[in-house]
Amino acid sequence: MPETQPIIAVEGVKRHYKIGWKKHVRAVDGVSLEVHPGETLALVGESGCGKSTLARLIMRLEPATAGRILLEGQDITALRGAALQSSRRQMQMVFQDPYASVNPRLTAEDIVREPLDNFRIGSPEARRTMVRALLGRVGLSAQHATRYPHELSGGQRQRLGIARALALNPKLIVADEPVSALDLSIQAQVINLLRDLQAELGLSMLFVSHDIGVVAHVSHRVAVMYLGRIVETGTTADVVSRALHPYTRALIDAVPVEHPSQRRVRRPLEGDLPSPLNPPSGCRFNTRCPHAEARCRIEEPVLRGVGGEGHQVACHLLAEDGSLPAQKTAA
Amino acid sequence: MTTPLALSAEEPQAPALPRFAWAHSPLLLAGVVILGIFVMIALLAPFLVADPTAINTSKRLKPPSEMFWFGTDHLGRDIFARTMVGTRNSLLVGFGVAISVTLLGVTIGLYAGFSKWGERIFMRLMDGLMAIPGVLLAIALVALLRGGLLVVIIAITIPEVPRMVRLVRSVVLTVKEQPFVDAAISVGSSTPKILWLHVLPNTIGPLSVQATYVAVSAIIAEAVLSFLGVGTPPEIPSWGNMMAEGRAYFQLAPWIIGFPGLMLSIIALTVNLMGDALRERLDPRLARRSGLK
Repeated sequence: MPETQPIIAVEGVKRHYKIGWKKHVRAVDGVSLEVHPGETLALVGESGCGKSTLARLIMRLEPATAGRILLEGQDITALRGAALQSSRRQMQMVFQDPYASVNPRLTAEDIVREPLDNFRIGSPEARRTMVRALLGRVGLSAQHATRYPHELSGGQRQRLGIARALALNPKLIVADEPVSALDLSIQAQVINLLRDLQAELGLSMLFVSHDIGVVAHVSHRVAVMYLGRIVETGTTADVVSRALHPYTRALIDAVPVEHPSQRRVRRPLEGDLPSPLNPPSGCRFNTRCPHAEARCRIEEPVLRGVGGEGHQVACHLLAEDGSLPAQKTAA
Repeated sequence: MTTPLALSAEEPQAPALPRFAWAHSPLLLAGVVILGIFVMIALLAPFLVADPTAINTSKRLKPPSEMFWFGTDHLGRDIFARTMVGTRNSLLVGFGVAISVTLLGVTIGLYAGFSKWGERIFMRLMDGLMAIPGVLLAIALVALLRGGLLVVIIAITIPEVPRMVRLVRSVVLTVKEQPFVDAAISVGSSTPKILWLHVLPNTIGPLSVQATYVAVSAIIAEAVLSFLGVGTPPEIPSWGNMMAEGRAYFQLAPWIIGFPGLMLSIIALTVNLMGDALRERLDPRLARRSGLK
């Protein structure tokens, strides 16, 4: 990526939830990332790794416990009132569940119109035309404008959510698992829509997903999250075809392939995600890592460059040539 | 007095109440018709029936007859006329209390659901109110403020408010966690706008059901207060004070207490059934179980 100012820069952000006397859930525990103009950054990880929380932190739907979030160089972590409202105009979110993310008692037109009304964009009559144009842009027709959400399909509702997010002409779209609640056939349509819009409007996008297969299709760069931390980041090509971190490799191995003859040797991850209430010491992945050594249980690895275009991995064991020590057989 | 009910927040995919919801539910339709008749009686009775306060000592304690359909009381007053005119009083109290409890409950409940301090102060206040038996509090209030219809409405409203506040607050707490509220925050909607446009409309379901129960319990509470002699002033006929006066003659002239009691039962049953029918319509999970669409 060229040296431009990032649209959004996250610096060492943490989000801890207090759940009792001196007990904290560390949902996001020190994450840094940047999204550059016109770029799609995918945030990948399994359920509970903190990726949705990070998306909500960036959207200022939740306060960060520590760290800074910079929107075009301006620190928005502590903004309040009018300043916060005007920064909201720059970034919009597409939500995971298209059934719950639109108010069931408003029509499609009301839903898309709400952001325009809030910022008094154009005259009230002009807003009507703008709403129709936005609906058209996401592949809904004018006849959908008067419909209520329960009269629309899941895919149509998600298009509605996208139209609402586009209404303010934002610089950044945060898409939090935008297709995981949709049928497989609809997923492709919505992903293509997002990709087309991104290219057409020059948007920046943070695309949160648990499916690294989907991510390969939409993103320029990928950041892999595990238990509140980023373990690997780099261009999509690097991360998908030359995955270095044992966790990323496991994620990629889990993607189904097209033909049985191409079936990979499967090395499924064992065990569950450890509790973020009490994360493992040292490398957080050591409890499930097939390569883990004594050092991994003591010392926490930091992200370090491993060649490629900004390809970074947080792993102690990785050799210069990108190889890992032999896998231990299960005892 | 009130049927206890465990309401959940309406699921977001619940169908919006169609314009003629009652057309699909015979129970609701019947309730609307019967309630309509009561409203007509309340509005028209004073112009159609005999003077409910006319005393005729020569015709005391007469059983129901062609002349006096519901009989007469110990002063020879026409029970039919008194019962019909008394409908107005009961309905006024019922609707008046339901409306004021809903308004107060929604205002306080919304505030308590959205503000930490609102919650701390108002919910403890409501807990305190709930600890006092409703009728006792109402008697104390009437004694303090002296009689009159308005005072009766106020006296019944105050003990009913906490339950409504709790309901509204619990629904608000569920609705405000819905992603569409996050979406509204993201697109820059102000908190008052979010409350008015996104939260309030989605509490209407459970709220309207609770309001019907409040109406029933208010009508009964008015009768109880009048029966105890602290409710509606004796010069205005109400079902409660009629029953209180008829109590002494119960063995001699059961119709004095019987007909207002019957009316009270019918209206309580009607509004309760309407509440149940509304609940079934508005709660998608119940609707599915009972086979309603």
